[in-house]
Amino acid sequence: MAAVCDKKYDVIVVGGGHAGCEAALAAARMGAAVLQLNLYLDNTALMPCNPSIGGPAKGHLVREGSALGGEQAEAADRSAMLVRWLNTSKGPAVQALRAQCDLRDYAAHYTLAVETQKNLDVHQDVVTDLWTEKGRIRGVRTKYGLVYEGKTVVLATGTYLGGKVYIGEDSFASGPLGQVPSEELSRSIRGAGLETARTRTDTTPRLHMDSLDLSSLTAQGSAAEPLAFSLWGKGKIHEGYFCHLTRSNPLTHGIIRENLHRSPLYMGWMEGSGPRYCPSIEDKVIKFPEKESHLIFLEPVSRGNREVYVQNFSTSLPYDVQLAMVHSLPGCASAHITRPGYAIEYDYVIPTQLHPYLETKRVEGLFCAGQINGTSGYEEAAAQGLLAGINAALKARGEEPVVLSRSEAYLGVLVDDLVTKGTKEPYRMLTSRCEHRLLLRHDNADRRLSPIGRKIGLIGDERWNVLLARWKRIDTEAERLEKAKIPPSEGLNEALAALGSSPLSETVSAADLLRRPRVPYSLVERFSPSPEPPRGEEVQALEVEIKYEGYIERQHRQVARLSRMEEVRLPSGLDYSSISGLLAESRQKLEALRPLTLGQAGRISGVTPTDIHLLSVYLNSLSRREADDEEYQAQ
Amino acid sequence: MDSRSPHSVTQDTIAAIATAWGEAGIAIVRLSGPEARRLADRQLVLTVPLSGTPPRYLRNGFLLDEKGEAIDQVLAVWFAPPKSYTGEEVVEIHTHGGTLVAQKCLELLLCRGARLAEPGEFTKRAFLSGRIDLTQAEAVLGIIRSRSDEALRAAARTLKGELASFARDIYDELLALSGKMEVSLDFPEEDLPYGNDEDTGHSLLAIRQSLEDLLDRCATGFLLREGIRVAIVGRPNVGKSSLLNALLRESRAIVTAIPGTTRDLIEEVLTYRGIPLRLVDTAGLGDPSDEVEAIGISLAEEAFKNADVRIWVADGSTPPAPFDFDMAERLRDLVHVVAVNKSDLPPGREDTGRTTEEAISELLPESPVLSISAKKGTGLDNLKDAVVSSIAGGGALDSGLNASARQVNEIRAAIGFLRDASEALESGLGQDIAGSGLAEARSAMERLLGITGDDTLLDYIFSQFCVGK
Repeated sequence: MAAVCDKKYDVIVVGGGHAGCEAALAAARMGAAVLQLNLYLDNTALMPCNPSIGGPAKGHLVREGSALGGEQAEAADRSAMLVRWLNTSKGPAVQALRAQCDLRDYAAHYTLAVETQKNLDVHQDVVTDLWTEKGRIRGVRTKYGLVYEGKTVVLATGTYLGGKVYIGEDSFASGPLGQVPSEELSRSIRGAGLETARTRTDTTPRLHMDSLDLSSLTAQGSAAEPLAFSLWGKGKIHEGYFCHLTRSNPLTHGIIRENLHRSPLYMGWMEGSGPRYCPSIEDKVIKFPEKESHLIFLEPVSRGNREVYVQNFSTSLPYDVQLAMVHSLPGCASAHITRPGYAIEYDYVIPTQLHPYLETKRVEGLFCAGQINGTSGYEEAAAQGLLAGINAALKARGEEPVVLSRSEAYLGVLVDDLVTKGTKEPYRMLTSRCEHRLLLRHDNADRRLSPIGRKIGLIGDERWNVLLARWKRIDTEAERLEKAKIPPSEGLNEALAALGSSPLSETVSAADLLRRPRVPYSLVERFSPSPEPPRGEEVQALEVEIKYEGYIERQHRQVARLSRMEEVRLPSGLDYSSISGLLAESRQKLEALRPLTLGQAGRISGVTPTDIHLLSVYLNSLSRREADDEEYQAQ
Repeated sequence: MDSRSPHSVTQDTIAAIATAWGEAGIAIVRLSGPEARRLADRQLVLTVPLSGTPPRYLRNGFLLDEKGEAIDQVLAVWFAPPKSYTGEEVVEIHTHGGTLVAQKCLELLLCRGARLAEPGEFTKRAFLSGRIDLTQAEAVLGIIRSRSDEALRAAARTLKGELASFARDIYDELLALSGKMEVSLDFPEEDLPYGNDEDTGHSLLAIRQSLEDLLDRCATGFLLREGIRVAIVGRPNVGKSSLLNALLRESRAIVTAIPGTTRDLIEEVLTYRGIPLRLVDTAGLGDPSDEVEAIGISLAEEAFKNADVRIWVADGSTPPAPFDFDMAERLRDLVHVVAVNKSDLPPGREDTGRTTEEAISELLPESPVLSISAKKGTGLDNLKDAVVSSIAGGGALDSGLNASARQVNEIRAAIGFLRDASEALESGLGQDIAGSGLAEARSAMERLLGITGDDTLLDYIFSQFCVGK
């Protein structure tokens, strides 16, 4: 007989990884009574793959999390060993931070955060069963013999559900190498009426730093300026840690080809489809036979150990083959493998069964976040965890959920893609998935999302005031630039010539000078000094808003056009079979997916513009009929 | 009855071919208005007339020609107001084969009293009768010139052959260029083959040029389907009205007389080889003698300017007047055909000579010049051929691609987006901005081709580039 915990929770979070921690922290900070169940407490916020945070699109997600009141940016800043700006020359929308983190410091930050968080109880236990009644979640049952009651449950189970690890011909039930998998919960999830599927991902061998000869390899250090993901972080200059570049070569590829028959992938053992963007090295060699060499990074994983991650070298070939492959890499001739690379296969919940606020349609009060939704990456997981935690807390309070639109946040794109289109491979955030990316920049995440974070109670007075002061500085300076005049001068024209810009012939506003391609704010400020110049990243925000004004406005107009479709809500009981003219395939998809808005309906793959047109005409006739009925009754 | 009820609004009954011009399995002729069923029943012999058939019930039968002989087996269906697309009584007649039978069917219905629908008029009526609201009307703005949602559907269905294959080629090039740019934005730390901005600029320009060519051909096809606006110009008493009447008389298929966009000019429509010719007589193009005439002249000027082709009627029985030299000057850069009328008549006076084809050719060496007699009705077919050829180019009607107005708009949009992308790249604003322009152009082409682009870009990227951690 299981013991029933007498404390009733608002939110129960299942999982202690990136999504689970964010969900638990957000809900507790919003005042909900939260329980976090983690199957092994020492693995809080584990980074079982490369301990790197950020990059294009992923870095945007981290900054967005910070703007909403999440924790990942703090953890990344706190644990960074080296940080760099990427894509600096490719335009304002795709610039992003990437940090190599110390995985122990990162985990320690989250561990302390959840342990010291008010309203949050953290327990080690293994959830085996969902307790549901009449289509509603009531709580969870655990392996240690407990029953916990909760108004809502957030599943953030990562790669643990039915996890199975493959190394060459060997395979065994496991979470990330060496961890306990979760066997029973998958069945319970399916028992609750949710459909699951298998997917997989790979990781690389780890090497002992002291067994490598890095002297001949190119080293990549940290940026010379202080950089931070967090909106409130000061950033610091990181020294002493480097990534090293090496390359695979014909010898490596030969070893792989000779041993392909021993790969679980090519033996057809694994069920899930692996990610295309993150192929194992054996995948790359097979798919791109003309490439004789692939770029590989050797990256430190912690200040506290000597392990090195071999970026771009994930593999599930047998251990002995991995050893030969590693030894063929420059600098690694006598490398010692501390742990082998492996593939992990696990269950995920098909995400089209979720609402855009991450609650399952089938079981009220049950939310899913992170890899359980078919995504890949710590950033994708944390961002979803944050949103699920927010919405679980709101649900417990009886309030409306937060739904982020595609024009509002990368997180909005991520969730909309998942719930509308689903995914057949681990979903990775990419800037090219985002149609309004000029609006969704790293530098304006605070303006886009912090008002929401503030409203739901995740951003306190102190942080809010920092943002208000920042926005005021930017806006005041932008106004000043419009008014300030800059006359032509010899000094200015020399500076312009150096930038490849034509000389000034008459007086212009400072803003117009800044609008010229390639003219930076620093130059404008030199000739039109500001009483209170913006600082650090504020400069970038200011520059972009002025320089790209026309393009930004155009994207805003596009969004406004599309928003009409986003605002048309589809009734939850809509009978699609009564709408004549819909293609049979579209009708099936609409019935299965039950989109919230006309806009979402239009993004379902296979649903044509004509279907949407018909749907819209039908909706209108519905509302007119209702209006007629009311009129009739009024008479 | 509710006064807002759409079918109480008295309106004439309009008709049009709802499917795209060109070869197709079936074509649909659509009627909308209070007389729709009555008109259809008079032209069709069905197992049961539509007047005795419940709505939305398909009947089999035959289309009769003016002699009462069956010329095609057809299907017909009607929709009762207000549950129809326009909210009015609507009949649809499904005919076989491409445009020819449908065109015939339409002509017969028009003879019975239906009026040829203006482009977008079905949708306009749907809006006016409250079947769709303004938001939706705006939503269909892009398709407003195609006649109905069925036309759109048909266009997507019949989108095959040349247009699709050209558009597809361009789309593939766009995709490849997009893929190259995007992959370097999303995977900055990988060794990727992104060239330089200059090469990308060249590629952008080349793709844009291909789109411009495609647009030209579509515009031609569009014109052929929607009708060629023909302005008949020339000095007074040169025989413009006679020519107009001759053309209309000679063509058994007098379609209808539509008051033009302006109130005082009459547009007459006839079809030649299945192509509507919309003829406007620009009476009195010249010096005004009073204010009323001045208004008429400004309308005529408008018609002259807006026409797709101008037929200049010159008087063959008199020598060229100053007006003729002016006219030749004005026509030089416009699409036109010269008809030398009254060439069979003896010259007015012995000593004054006449305007010969050679004389015109001296004025306008590049122009097609034809001798006609409006009175006797000779040379008219040659004239109509010349009019059609002047649009179709070389007389090959099918060089024009069968694109709907919506599709033409998408091509235009794609061109615009590519121009923006080029500018962004040239001014050093960044690959991300240029990439967004390319993405916009891509989705315009996807809409044109009727394909969903969902994951096409990513599929392309991952199949072409070796990326990933």
